[in-house]
Amino acid sequence: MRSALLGLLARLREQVIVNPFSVVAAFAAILRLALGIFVLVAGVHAIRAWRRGRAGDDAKGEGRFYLLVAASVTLTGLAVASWPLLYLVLQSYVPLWPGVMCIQGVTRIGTGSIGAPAALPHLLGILAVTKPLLVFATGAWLVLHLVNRRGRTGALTGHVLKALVLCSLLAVADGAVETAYFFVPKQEKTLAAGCCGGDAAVAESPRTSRPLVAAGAGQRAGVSASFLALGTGLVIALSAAIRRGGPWLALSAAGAILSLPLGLVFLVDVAAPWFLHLPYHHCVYCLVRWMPETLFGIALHVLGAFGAGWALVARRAGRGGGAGEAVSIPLLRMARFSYLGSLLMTAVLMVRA
Amino acid sequence: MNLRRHLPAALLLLAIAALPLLAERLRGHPERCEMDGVALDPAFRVRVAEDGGATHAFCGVTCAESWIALRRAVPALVLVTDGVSGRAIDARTAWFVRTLGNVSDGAPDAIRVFERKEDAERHAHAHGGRVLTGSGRPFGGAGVRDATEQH
Repeated sequence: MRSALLGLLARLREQVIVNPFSVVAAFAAILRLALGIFVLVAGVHAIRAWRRGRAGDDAKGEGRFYLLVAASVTLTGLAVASWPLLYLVLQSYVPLWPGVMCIQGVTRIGTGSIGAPAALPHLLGILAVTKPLLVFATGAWLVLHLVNRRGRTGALTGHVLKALVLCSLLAVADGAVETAYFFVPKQEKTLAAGCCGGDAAVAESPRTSRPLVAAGAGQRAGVSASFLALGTGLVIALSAAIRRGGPWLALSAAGAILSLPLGLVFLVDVAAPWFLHLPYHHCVYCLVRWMPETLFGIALHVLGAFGAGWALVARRAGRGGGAGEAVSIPLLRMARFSYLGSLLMTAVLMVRA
Repeated sequence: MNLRRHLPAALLLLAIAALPLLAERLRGHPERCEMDGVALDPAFRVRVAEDGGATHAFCGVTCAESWIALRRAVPALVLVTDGVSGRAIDARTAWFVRTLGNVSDGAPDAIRVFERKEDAERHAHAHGGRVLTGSGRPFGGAGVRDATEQH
């Protein structure tokens, strides 16, 4: 039994890339998966218990589910930490394949392979979507929870529990996909070359060597102008939302949603080639690697968008009451500050480049 | 009073704005390939000069060719680096070998450049691969102006 287990571990060791980052990330992914399942099951039970309590006029808010809330807060922390951790792992994989120059090359490992490794790029594609979704969803749950606690009547308990179940479902999916990614063998698989992964740079790199939208100089200027105009508009709209709320908040949230894809297009099509002084190199991973300060700008931009969304959730959940406003105002201030910081940094980089 | 309330945020924003400037000061400025951004190894560097006098540096022959194809440029001059002496030589007079030797010597691609035919043939013989001639030569055709077949 012991030798079989040791043999299995040895085989796993041969096939799975083991380094400090991957060990920590794999542990965090398994923990997230387990905690997600616990929160999911406990959340469903809590919804049933809450409904029974409500029918018997015994509703006491979330106070009864303190263990569930504590587990969910931990899950939120794990979800947030797992996002940068995944990219640290991918960065640590870069030196393992000759010809791979950045994370973009690592994301292509498995392309053209047969069997489980062929799924590797798809798994990373799924994670690129679930990570931000999970962070936003768990943040929205936390906001709902705070509004509910401030309300003191526990009127939002049902919504909080339902949001919790939704977050746990996302966390389970994200944890399962990430765990699968870590345990699928990656060694000795041929790499489909790309911009940051070998010779055939331009021809085989549709996503990073080539721009997403803006190919010409005119289009790039248009993207830059749109990005800066939307950012400035968002700062103004968020300021108005802090003072007046109402339609300004909805407008800010709509603008924030738009700012995410526009920000991505700006990064790939304009910022990467411009700031790196490499007119044909549209790789965001290289931008972050060679100019790490840009990661701070990206984080501020994402935080601004998420902050505006969370503020809308708080205000809608509070239904115009004091609790919703008390939670949403700091979030709106955070979003405004984040956009302002991101815009300032972009402007300085544009002037210097 | 209002100013005092906003002062920490304003200072923080100022620090954010100063971050790129500080990072630029701390960062080294290695010469990078204009195609894929890799730090250049002088042993494989390729330089492309345009009519206006602008020059562009690349990590290897493949990147330089990709760049020329993308720009649809007809460069005035392409300088490649001799794999033996490390001297910059005109691409029109150079000998190119598509090597089968592995790339762990730091080369960015499989094309090796030599000033002398004997060196090219020796490399092809020792490591496998073939000396590129005719239309297979890099920078031929759409590449350097007047790139007549000299070999």
